[in-house]
Amino acid sequence: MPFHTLFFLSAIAGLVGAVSGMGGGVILVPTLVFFGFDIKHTIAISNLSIAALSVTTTWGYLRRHMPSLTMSTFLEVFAVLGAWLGAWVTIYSGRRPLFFLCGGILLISGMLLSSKQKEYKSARPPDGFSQWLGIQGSYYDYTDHRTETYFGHNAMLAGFLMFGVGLVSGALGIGASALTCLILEGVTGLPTKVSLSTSPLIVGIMALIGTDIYIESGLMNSGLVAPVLLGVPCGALLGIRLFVHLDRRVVRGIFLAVLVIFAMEMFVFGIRGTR
Amino acid sequence: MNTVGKVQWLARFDLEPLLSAILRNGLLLSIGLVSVSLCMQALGNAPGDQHLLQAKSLPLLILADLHRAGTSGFWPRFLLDLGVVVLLLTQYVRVAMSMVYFAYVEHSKKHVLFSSMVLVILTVVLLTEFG
Repeated sequence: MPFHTLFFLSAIAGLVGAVSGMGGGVILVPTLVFFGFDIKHTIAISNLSIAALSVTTTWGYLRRHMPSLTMSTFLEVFAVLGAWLGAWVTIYSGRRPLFFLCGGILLISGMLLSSKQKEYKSARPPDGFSQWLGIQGSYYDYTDHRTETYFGHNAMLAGFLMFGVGLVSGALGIGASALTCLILEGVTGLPTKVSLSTSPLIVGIMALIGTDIYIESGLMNSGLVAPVLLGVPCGALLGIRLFVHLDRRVVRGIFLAVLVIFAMEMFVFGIRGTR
Repeated sequence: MNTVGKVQWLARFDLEPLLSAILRNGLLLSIGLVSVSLCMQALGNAPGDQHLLQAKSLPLLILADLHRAGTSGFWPRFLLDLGVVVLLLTQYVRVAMSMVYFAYVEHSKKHVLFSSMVLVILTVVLLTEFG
């Protein structure tokens, strides 16, 4: 496939990842598989794209003091172990289970996307362990022009769940961003904006582990590296700028349809046993 | 700087802008290296050079590329692989800086413990065949 086509696809993946908060892998993996790339090489390159996307999105959030570094530091311990194991699962697994797993995660990502409607705010006091960890903070909400204070909950449960997310991320190179946001928001009770800004920190570390293992296993194709490394940040930066101007309901509707089509594509490949 | 000055400087120290700068500069350096590699490929005799990035660890990948480039005079492959390694190390440096911050500014032993656990796992994965 020519460089400019791959660059364009990567930019779209970066744009979608930044706008939807789902990460770029959900677009990149099914598209590259559709165009004939081996699913294992595609998962490897997806991990690299996630690493690039996470760096691009995190640097802006950090300047605004939005991520919860205490929460991410704790959850990263579990996430890296999961990602390490997940990458090995892919290396030794057959291709058919990977197609089915990809299809399943795409459908779950679609469901998460369609259910993200209102911000979760917890008024509960933090549990003992979360309090001991010191998961609390504040951020300036640029929409409401006021400082919001928050407390984290259920840190231990979130840690165990993050191991599972790491497993999925390392194994498939997709779904980590959406699932991490779900845990941060739904389990630990962090505000949506803090969850969205904290998840790239954790996802980036999982992607680092996955990328390294795929390099050591010889699954990283250099022909894909340059367009992905250049395209994903370009798309993400454009997506961050477009984000404020887009009608989120329309965007969600389009992405949802695309995710369902990609999931079906993966199931078909899984039934066939090959692309 | 005297002790009082050091304490005041540490109290004012803000981690997030530093981490933001590390990530931004790491990404820009990585993109720069990959771009130079592409330009060299386009200008040289090997447009669209494709290979599998493979080595037992990241340092070995770079050393093998450096040796290959030194003997053959073909640098784009080295620069491309270096761009990938720089991107990965950017995240590594971010975790290391967080650990230093928790140790010397926040004095939070538990967060030092968690960030050092992540750092140890990353180091083992990046530097050894266990990855």
